[in-house]
Amino acid sequence: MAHSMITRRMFLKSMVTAAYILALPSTSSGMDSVYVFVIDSSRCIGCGACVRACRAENEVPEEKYRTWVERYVVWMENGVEKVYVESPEGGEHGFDEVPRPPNLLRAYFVPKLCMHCQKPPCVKVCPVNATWLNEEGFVLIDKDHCIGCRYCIQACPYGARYFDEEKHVVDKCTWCYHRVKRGLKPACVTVCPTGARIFGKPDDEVIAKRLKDPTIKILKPELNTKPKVFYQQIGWEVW
Amino acid sequence: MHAIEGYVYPNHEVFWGVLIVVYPYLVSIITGMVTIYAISEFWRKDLKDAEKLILVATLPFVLSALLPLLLDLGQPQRAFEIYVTPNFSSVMAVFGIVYLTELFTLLGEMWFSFRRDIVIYAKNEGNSIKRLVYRLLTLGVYDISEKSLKLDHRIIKVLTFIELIAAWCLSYVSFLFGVVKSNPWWNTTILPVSFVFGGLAAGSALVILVYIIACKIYRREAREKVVDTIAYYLFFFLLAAFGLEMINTILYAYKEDVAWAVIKITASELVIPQMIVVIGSMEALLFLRFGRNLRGTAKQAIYTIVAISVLIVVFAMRWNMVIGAQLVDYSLRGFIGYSPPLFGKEGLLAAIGVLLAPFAIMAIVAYFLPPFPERKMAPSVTQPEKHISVDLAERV
Repeated sequence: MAHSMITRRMFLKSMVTAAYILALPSTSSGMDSVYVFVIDSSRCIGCGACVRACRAENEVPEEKYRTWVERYVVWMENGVEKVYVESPEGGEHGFDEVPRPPNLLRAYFVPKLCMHCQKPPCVKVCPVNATWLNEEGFVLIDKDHCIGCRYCIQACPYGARYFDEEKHVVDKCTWCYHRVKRGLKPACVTVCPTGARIFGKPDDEVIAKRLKDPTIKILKPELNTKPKVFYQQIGWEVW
Repeated sequence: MHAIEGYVYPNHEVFWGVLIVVYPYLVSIITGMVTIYAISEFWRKDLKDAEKLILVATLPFVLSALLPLLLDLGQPQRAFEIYVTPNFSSVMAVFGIVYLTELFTLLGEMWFSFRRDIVIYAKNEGNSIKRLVYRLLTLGVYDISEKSLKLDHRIIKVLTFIELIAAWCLSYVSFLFGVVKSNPWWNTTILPVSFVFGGLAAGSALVILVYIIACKIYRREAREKVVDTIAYYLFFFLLAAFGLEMINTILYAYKEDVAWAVIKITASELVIPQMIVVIGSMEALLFLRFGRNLRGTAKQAIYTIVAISVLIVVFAMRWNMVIGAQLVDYSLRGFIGYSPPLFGKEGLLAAIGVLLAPFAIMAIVAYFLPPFPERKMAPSVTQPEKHISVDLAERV
């Protein structure tokens, strides 16, 4: 009986070993293994090719959008910056000309999509674990498990999720996970004629260079969702 | 297609319709009714006359509380997944557990409260089917000795305490909205507190209404002490709910931040429910203040009006909370309009059906478990103490 007893020394030794193992940094969840998306709005021409490609690639229902393009027009009026924002049909068919306001300060296009947040509020609220953040940084949905409560849509501050009226479940941009797993880029990135959308890992040469841009921004940082879509050349008016 | 003002994200719409207004509304009512029951059980013995009625009236609301959620789900057949693969960081998943706690404690409470009646019916009921139902309801326990009934009562007290906690936790459903940090309307600290008080007011109002109506149906006199006591609590619950709602609105108005700019526009879409909240609350508070001085039918009439007003006011509060908040787009640059469809599973008729369902279930529950059993057993209700059924009326 005495042989099978754990001595105080053995106990303390095993505790120290366990604490050491727990304290080791995890290599699998490091930032280098996840993907990020960089958007240079100064290159976007608002052609809507990305929205059309996304719809075709992912069979997105009409009037729903996994990605869309917004136009911002900012002008000065009595010392105050006025902002006009539009996204007719998600920018799918391009944009009509708008009258140029006096004292125009800037006008540009901003593509939007799921931010695949590192702290996704949509994942937190899903009651049945039908949506999750995977190790590569993709926020995905199991459509065979989703109960269609739409709570995740309410929780997403970026308006990225929609309800698929045909399948009665929630859907959203997956950064074309099915393509990425085959070594391809997302459809919107592939078709962008100006290279406004860049997709890859943070240590990819082009992305690493862009991320060093001190003007780079994430949207709604105050919500602490840690989005992984980074924007270049946008003003304060974009959120 | 609903009207759009300003800029809204292309995917934006009112995702939770009128059924999700009904859902927190029913939950609110449950909280209020359970609280009144607990007040009766622990503090105010003068509410004893309405005790069984409150239980009979609460069960149908608890049973119906999930109905609007199920109707609203895109895949209702997968609803059980909330229990199979729950995500405990989700308020909705935790709600499932709290709901079951509430349901089972209420069922236990009812069984112990009605056990004596059930045993008597199981032995004396003439109708063979009803007798079988009562025999099943006894769960094989026929001991109604003084000692066992005393024990029953102790258990009821424990269950009432647990149920009260569960009911207040049910009001935690407001966190379901409160945790959505992207929505400025929901993301306030006051919301959960005002939600609870709104629920307490609605539940108290419903108890008054059901008590007055039940007394009419059972042809017995509604005791003034009962309605006066509940009305006393109702006054303070409503005052708190109304006050907190107003403080919230005034704070938004005063701060005038980006969110308020949109909410100000949205107010045009919510003029009617806002007016109902303000005028209805003031009218109910006034009537409650002066209703106590009245007597007999006049008092009952006033309290009936107050109860209906409060139920409408709290429904309007829930409408503002659920629908109003969703009109505002998360871009905070615009808003949309909303008018519920008449037909379909998310339509007005379905919502009315869900709202009426508890009353239909209540009739069935009351048929098997009469809340005023002395009438059933005795020819007179005015002087029950002279009859053999006195032991039914005066539960230990």
